[in-house]
Amino acid sequence: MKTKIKELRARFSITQKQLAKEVGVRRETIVYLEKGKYNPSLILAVKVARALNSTVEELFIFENSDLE
Amino acid sequence: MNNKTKLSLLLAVLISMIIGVFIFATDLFSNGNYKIGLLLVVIASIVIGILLFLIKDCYQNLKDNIPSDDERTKKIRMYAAGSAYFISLYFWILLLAFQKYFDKDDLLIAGLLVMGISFLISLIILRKKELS
Repeated sequence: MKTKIKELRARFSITQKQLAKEVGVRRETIVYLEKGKYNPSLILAVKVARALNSTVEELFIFENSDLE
Repeated sequence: MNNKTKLSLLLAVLISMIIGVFIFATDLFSNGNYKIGLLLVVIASIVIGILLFLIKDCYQNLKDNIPSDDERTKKIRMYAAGSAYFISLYFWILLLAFQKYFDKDDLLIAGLLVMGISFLISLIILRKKELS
């Protein structure tokens, strides 16, 4: 899984800490989300998408191999 | 568990540890058991150091209004507990198989240590791993 979280964060000049605080998680969770090493719950995915003025589909990119 | 509760608990454990170590160490030293007394102080110092680090981290999280637990940390803890359960189970079976050769107290201590250590190791490994 790939994400555009880092890209959108940079666009809106939001730090990982600020994003983590806004969505109610620890900064480490945002780090792992950005690296694509953690699959968030639907609620968290929606919260992150809303915080970055985006949609879940735009933010989280799944390849066919990820969906098997 | 929220940050305030976690901080209170850690402080209570720290104070209890310091008092306990002080009492036991002075008792050991007064009875002439310098080696064991010193070993106790050294091990307790390491544990107190770790506790102080955790307290500092918890206090910082409380000040910055960062949650101590989120969905990822809860998931990691759950998976680590699961792994530790199976590792401990196999170890207890092993201990039972060789119970004739060990003292009951030693068996119990070994079993409890493995349970704790396997949980800690699982936590450390799972923190770095990719979680689905």
